[in-house]
Amino acid sequence: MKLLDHCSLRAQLIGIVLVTCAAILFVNAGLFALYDLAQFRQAKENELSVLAQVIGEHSVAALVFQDAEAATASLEGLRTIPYVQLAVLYTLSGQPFAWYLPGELRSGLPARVPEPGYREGVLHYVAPVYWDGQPQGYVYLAASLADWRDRVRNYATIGSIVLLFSLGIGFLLLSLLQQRVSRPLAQLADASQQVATSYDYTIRVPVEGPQELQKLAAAFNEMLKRVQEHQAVLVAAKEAAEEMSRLKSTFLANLNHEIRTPLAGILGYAQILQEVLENPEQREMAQIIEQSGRRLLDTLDALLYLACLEAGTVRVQHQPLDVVAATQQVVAELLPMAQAKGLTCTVHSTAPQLEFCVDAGLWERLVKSLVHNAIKFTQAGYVRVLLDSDETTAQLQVVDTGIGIPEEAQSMIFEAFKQVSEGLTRDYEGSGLGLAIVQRIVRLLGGQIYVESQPGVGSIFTVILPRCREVEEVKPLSASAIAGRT
Amino acid sequence: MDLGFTMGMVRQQFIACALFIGILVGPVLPQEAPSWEVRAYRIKAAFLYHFAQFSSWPEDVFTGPQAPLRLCILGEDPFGEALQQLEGKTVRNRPLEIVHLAAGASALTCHVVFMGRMPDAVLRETLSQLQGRPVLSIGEQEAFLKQGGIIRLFTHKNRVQFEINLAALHRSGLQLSSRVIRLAQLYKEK
Repeated sequence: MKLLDHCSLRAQLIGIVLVTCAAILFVNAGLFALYDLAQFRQAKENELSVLAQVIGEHSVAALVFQDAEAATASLEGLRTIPYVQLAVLYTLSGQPFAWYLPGELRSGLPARVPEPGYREGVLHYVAPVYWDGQPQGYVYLAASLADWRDRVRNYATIGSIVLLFSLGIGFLLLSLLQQRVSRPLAQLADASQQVATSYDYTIRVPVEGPQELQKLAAAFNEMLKRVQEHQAVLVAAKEAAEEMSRLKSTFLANLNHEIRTPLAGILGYAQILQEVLENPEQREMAQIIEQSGRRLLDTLDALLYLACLEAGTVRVQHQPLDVVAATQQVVAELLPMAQAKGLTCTVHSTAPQLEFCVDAGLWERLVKSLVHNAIKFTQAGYVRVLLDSDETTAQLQVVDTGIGIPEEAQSMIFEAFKQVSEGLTRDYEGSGLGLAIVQRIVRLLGGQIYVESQPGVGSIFTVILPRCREVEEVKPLSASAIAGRT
Repeated sequence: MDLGFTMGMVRQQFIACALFIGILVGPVLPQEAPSWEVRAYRIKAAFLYHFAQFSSWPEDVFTGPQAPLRLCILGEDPFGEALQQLEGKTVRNRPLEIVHLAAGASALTCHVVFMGRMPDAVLRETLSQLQGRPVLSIGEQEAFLKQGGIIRLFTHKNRVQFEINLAALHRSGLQLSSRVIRLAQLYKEK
């Protein structure tokens, strides 16, 4: 069966039919041979009974008058019948009286009248010789069935030739006829394989062959047609989306440019005004202008960065990075802001040096956003950054003693433009984009972020990243991927 | 008395046993081998019967369908006990009746006649009486056929053989199976 699995449909079809035919022919031949043997034996027995009768008639007088010579002479008449191996006349008392023994018989002359029947390829026939209604003796004839064996051998030879010849013709016919079944199937198989490898949905298979295969081919064509249509729709949608995306990018770039340029002017002149103005009141106003402008710039930056993250245009390059040094650098930048609020801001690591495979820029952004956030919402106490790692994961924790987050709000803090205090009091400046960006960066780095918090006590943000991983190729969206999603 | 009776019983039983074994073994043991002469007459007696079996008579010689077939031994009987083997046999559904007649007696009521040793004159007389009559005459004497007999038995090389006078057979109106004639020596009348 294993072997069969490796054969093509064509070979299997031919094999199955030929094996079936051969089996039928063999069974026929066997049954015929058995029938022939039975017939042959019957015929032999009939012949022997006639012979025995003739011999009896011929030699009854010789038997009765004890003329062995005459009896032998009449038995000699059997010479013309080659299959008679032995013929013996027995007297009524069972003594051999006269015999005919053409060849050397293994058993020799039976001293008593043998049992009739078929033994060892020899048919033994015994008939009493009657005269005047009374038995006068017995005729015993032994006929070899060797000629039946010759006959069977002949039959077998002829049968084998016929079998081979028929199977040959069968093979030729099958080779021609099986195409009606196997060719449509082979075409279907080829077509489906081609579709699977080339994603070419314009392929169609000819609808031909037996009904089932026609149905199959038609259904296959129909499915291909559907897929083709869907693909066309999807490609159009994708192109539209790409167009939209391009427009959005252009729009954002323009917006960026159009807002930054005047903002640069505003900021620049606000700084100049602060230096030039002598009236402290006016200088404060100029300072407010500058601060507002900076906030606007920050918000714009965050917004654009988020847009970039969402558009997937941020390229991630994983490379080994000593996160302790990188984190300390980021914290050092933010230290003035913390010190201004009277907070301590420290970095703790389980090892003096920890090497993670992360994108350096994203890591910096991540730490910066979290620490910035922590400082922003903490009035007194400390902000701590904890670094840890095990075999497979890297862990970053930012612990603060800030205002905390109510439990019901913990699930939505990562959404863009949400601040917990929204709607109540906007005590804290900021766009609400910081944690949204954090979450997207974590996702981009293949990690997870958790928050534990208690209002009034503080918050712990925990980021768990895979410590090192294979550089994943960013695959372009393939047609199969689109098809798979539909 | 008691003991004697027992002893008597034992002896009787022993004898019975011996007799019984004798009966069983007797035919197997070589009795005093019969002389060729005796054996030849046994065969000849069988031949008489077989000749009757292979012959056919005109229907009117029998008085009825169940009438016996008469085998007559004329004159001296050379067979002795050998004829006993034929007792109770039948020929073509007719019982075989063996009749002994004195030499010179008329054999016209017989169907098969075996003529024992007798003077030539008596033989000739008897045979001439039987000429043309459906009686199968069988004899042993040298001149039997010459004098009109049908079958003569003789021994040759320790085999019993026979000679047939076809003309006499023909004259008698009897039919003898050709199978038998094939085995016989044929006598030609001069």
